[in-house]
Amino acid sequence: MTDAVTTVVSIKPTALLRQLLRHKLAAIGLVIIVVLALLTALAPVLAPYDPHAQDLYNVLSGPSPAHWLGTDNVGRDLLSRFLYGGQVSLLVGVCTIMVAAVIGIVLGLVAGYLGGAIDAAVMRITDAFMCIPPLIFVLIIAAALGPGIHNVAVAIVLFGWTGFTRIVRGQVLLVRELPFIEAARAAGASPIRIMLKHILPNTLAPLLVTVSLSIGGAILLESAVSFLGIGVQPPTASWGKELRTGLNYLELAPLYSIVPGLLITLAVIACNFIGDGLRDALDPRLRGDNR
Amino acid sequence: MGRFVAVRLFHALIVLIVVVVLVFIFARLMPGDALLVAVVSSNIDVDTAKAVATLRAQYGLDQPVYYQFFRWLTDFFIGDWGESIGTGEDVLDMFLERLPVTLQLFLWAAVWAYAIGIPIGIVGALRRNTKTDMALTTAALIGVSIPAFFEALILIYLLAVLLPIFPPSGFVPFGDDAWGNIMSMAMPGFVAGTGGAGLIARYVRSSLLEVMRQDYIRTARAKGLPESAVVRHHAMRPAMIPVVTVIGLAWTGVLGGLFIIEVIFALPGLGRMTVDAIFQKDFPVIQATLIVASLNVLLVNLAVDIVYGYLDPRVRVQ
Repeated sequence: MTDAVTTVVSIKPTALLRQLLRHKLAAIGLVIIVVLALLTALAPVLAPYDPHAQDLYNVLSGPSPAHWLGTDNVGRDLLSRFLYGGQVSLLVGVCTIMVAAVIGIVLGLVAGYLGGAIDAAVMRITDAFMCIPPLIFVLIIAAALGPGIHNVAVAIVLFGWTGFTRIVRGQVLLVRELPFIEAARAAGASPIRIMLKHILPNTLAPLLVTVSLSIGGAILLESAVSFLGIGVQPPTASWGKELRTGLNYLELAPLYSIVPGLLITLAVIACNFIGDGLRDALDPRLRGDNR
Repeated sequence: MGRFVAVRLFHALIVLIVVVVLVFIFARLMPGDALLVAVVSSNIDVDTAKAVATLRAQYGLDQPVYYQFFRWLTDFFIGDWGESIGTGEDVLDMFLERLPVTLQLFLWAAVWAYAIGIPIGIVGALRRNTKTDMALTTAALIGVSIPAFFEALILIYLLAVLLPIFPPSGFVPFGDDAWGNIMSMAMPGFVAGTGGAGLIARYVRSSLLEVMRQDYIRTARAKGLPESAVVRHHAMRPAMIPVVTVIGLAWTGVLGGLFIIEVIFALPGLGRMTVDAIFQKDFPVIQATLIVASLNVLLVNLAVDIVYGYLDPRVRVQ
């Protein structure tokens, strides 16, 4: 039921990037991600106003030359808030998946390489985690840990490792019996060395796909949780939270909620486009498809 | 086949046990606060510590953890799901009361997902690598990626605020006003089905493309059948087999989406009940929904695995 490639492929990074840029949707995704990352990273330079500066004489003003996207319900400049809010959304997406990936990779390597009871135990626990709807999982953990974006990040990590464990373990099973692993074992390499030096590099291809898709998923989860009111605390902005507040003023100031929603959507779509492009680039059966 | 089914059932049983333990742990992460909230909000004058202790005893929280676990588990399976801490209502009653709304939403979502997803996938595969295919593939990928709350927002803005065709939120029971019910469910149902539609479209497309490459399709063409007959009689049925696997994925996706969709559209279903319960740390309710939702996913995946093993013998040998 996994979505990623299951063949053993190794590919050079430069060749991969070239393939990716030739894939139209993936190229679009890369451009979107780079632009969004630059915009939010450069928020201190680009933002026309302090994102927390209120102007109570000028609330929900609508777009104007002074405030391109208008102001929010306490007169803060929306453009500035969206630029800063992106930092939270994107950073949480990337950082949580990095941590989750490390946990998932270790568990997947151990389960796949050692096999037997350890493998069975790890995989059943993974399956159990995957049965619980992600949003509810993250909401419960975040609610139990208390308010704050850090707790949402912890919750996403606690859920996020499952996909990686599955992919890596499947990949390890494919590689494990190949002659070069046997050769390494015969040469006296330790299990840890075999896992890290010989097996892990061969799981990188499908891992990349999973990383890309998972970052999109994590951004989506963070925004959904912020949308529901757990997550960043005022006055910090995040796209999900701005969207939620803006929803109350949908008729007066539609941009207040539509722009952050669009930004989240763009980020998620870009991650999925890249993930798709990677999959096509890494799956030899699909090569030659013109997209 | 018997061995295959037995192994799957055995795995599912173990997963079920792990799920139950996980749910129990999750729910235990929060009860203290919930009791405090319940005490503070009900009587202001009482001795808080004493009242909390009474409530702890009432919910069995003063017993050893393993006792609580087995007590809860046995009670759950005989239909005693406990009482909501917030309202004191019987959780099973709350559940049954809200179930029809969620089922209705689920049904709408499934209908939309298949009605849109399958034709898009077929057309995409038949017009492979044309502009139409490109547009449909992109649309499917956007459908998979778009956050439900953003899609809901756009639809509400376009079809309820700018053009007031549908009500922006709220639920009308079918018994009260059939037309009003349809109007109130159309938008949320569509939003709930979008992700599934995109997923199904992608699977149908790639599966049909795979089949169209087979030798027997070339044979069918070679004997002079028109293309439409080739597709209808020779390609469609084998192409639909792998699509079975996507039912599980789409199901999980739809189930996960229901929570937020019910909140946005103010539908009084299980999803909204759960989100409210999480905010109120109402753990008996959270436990119940978690178990039901996870069990649902588990059973659907099990069914998909078994059906797939039945349809495609290669899967059984693993």
